[in-house]
Amino acid sequence: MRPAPGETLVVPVPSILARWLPDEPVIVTGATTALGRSIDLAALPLPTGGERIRNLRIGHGVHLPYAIRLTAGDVMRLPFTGGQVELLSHPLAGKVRIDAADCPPLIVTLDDTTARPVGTGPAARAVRAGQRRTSARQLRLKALESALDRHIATAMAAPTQSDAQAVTLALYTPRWRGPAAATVNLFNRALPIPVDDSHPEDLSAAEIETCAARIAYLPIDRLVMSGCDPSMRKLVEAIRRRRPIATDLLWHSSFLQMGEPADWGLLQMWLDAASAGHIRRIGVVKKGLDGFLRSLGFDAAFVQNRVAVDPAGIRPTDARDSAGIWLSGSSHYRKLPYATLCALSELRHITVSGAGFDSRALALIEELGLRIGEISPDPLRPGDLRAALRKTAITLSITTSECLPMLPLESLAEGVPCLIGPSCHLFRDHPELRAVYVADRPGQPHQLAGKIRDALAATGELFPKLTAYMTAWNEASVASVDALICGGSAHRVASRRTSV
Amino acid sequence: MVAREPSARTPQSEQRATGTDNTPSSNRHRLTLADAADDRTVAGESDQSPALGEAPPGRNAAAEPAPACHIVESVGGRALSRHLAPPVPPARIIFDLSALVEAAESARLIEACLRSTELTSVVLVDGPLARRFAGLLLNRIPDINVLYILNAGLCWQSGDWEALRDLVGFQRHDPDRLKLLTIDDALTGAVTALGGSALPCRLRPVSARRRPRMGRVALLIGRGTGETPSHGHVAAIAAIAVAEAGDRVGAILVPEEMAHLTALLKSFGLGKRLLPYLTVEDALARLAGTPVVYVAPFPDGVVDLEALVVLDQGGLVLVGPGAVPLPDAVADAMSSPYWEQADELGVMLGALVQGYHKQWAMLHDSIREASRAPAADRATASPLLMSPAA
Repeated sequence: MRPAPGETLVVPVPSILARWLPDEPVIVTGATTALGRSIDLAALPLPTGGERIRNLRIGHGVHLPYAIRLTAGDVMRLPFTGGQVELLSHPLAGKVRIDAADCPPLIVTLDDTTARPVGTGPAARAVRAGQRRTSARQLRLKALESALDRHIATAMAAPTQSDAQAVTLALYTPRWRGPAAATVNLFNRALPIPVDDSHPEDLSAAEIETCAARIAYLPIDRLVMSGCDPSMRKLVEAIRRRRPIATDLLWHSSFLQMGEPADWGLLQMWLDAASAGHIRRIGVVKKGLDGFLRSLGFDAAFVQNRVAVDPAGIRPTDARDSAGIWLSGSSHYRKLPYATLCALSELRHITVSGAGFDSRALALIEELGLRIGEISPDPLRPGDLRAALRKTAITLSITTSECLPMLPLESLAEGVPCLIGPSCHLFRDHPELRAVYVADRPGQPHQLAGKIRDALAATGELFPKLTAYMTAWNEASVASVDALICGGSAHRVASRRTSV
Repeated sequence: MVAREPSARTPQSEQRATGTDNTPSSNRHRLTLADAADDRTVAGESDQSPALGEAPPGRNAAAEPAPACHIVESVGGRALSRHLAPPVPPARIIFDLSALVEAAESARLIEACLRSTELTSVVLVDGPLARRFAGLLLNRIPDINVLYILNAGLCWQSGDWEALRDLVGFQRHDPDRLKLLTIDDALTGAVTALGGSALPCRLRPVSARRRPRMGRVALLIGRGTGETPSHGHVAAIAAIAVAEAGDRVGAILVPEEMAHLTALLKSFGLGKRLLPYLTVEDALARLAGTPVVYVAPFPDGVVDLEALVVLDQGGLVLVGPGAVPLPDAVADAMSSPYWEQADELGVMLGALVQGYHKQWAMLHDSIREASRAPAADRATASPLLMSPAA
């Protein structure tokens, strides 16, 4: 039963530390209230553990007199609600908003057709707690079932390019913008899990079982897990209990991210699943990582991301002197826009638009006196991103580390060239395009300014070459997906891995 | 630490050597005067390097700016000081801030040094202490000029932007006495946007060093600047290199605080080769005479001071773009803009290990050839900047 229009669900606001850091130690290096007042970390009580660290050294230059290390189960009592804490060591570290774990639950109003929240407000206190929990759980499951049914109907009705694609279902997480965009472009049948933008780790055991029950009996021979959170691993297990389906993994992280303990933990979890025979083959979108995983004894294949459009129909943008920086908020260190913003300070005629900017980037734009167009602090949804892209003359995605980013491909699909860093193999095999659209020094503003100037000037001449390049690129992408889902049966080479 | 260049010995170092140091005991452990030969012991022993205190062959001494006092942080800063090309004035005295605790005390000592040597120019090499120190120096010593060497990139997470803003503020207050120089012109635009002005400066390649002995090649994993706080690709690079080069790879030295990197390397079967180290100086001391490759490919655009130290000690490097000045002949073998592409860098590292002495010879042949070239070819000296003696 779907919730009636205007019907409400009651869900607790999760503790952000509990939700994001279930297994991962975290180091708290600072805390400020919502009014910006710094909190003395030394004065914060740690009732259930936690380690106080003095003289913390970060890299070469940063020396902090005091920090607090928390592991799962530790509680740090904050004397405020709202505000920010600064975290170290977690891939999602940075400044995060804090909602106290014991703050009142909110009412979330669901949209009838999409089952997405459309409004929030404090819960009515008159409702009895027991009734509220029961009602919330049941209503949420019903909403999930109905949303799943709609998405499954859409996915299974989609036209397919091959027999293999017709019997393959890819599962992805809408919250992770890049992997989600990649998945829906690579696979004809794709299903969002969760069905909305919520965090996959917020799925309850009952919700995972509900998803498994719907997926296990679909007319498919193959699953591709394109979301890699622990809840997706549980979902694989739940599906296997009902019906063993050949399952592949599509891994969206890079070599670099193995150095993040949380990311490495996830990769280990999936490698263990592969070792146990629950994952047949591992697709990777970082070129070269497939060979490395094979050297560790796993069946792995490279999958090349694409945007499923016909490049021949793409027309170059009419926009002039405007640049876009579109961030998804997925990294606190791999995709920083600051050097690019500094570069734009040398190009005073260019207007900058963008999304996903943190407070430092917003402050930098103001301090540098850049000409600004449309700026959104939050990442854009896919439809909004496409519209925003079309209003700019160039996309600046000069990041330091990527697998195979979707943004440059999405930008090209909208007729807007994209300048990238030397972080992926895009343009590497085309010297002329590489010379113009790859900035070898992503951290050096002056070099970036020159590259932006050159790239803007080259659009008219190089756009036909860009579309021709995309045509060949997309053909290679289709072949790479076929290699993932149609390749031979999983085989194990002699493992050199010792304790992965 | 204060290092005096180019004289081979100072009274203080003689005192230290002979045990007749009269420095008050409260200062003795923190303040030591060292001659430049301490840093150049290897060079001094090598017949391949120019003698200490002499201008390199072919250098036009008349065009060389008057010497100055270089203020640095740590052994890495000292290495960078030696690589600064004209028109940055060469060091007559090197003052190492990292050995001192109080900024005021440091300023007092520098003031005394400058007065005793009649130097009027100071070259401040970028670093956390130097940033705090610049304003203090300008306020305390009214008759000196300061050239501040900005690094080639900003470490945003370490407060570099705020520091740059402060420096530009100092410059706007006293533009005749504080000049900002940016390596590779990288921050010119940013400084201008903040209302200041910056001039370009360049680095020159390392000096020739003594050839290491034959034997297995040690890998020295660098810390990086912390701006890219992950070494996952480095672990994969090391694993691939060991697969490529086998037993040609000896010990793998890992910063002792990097527990996750150590765990990764163990996961990849490299546990038996791992040795922890605290500082690069300590690591190099343990590896004396051993072929070593410093591995720290990062994208930050920041000059890697530890890589400079390793090159100065005769090792090889595998680094990201712009991390150190490398001759063209070896740049492609020791550096790649695709710094994260571990599969490719692993093969590069394997090749460096297997062809270590060939690469070493190419590096040092290039350096010697460069040093024989006319001065105008080596350093396109822009009309300076600032007259250090002015």
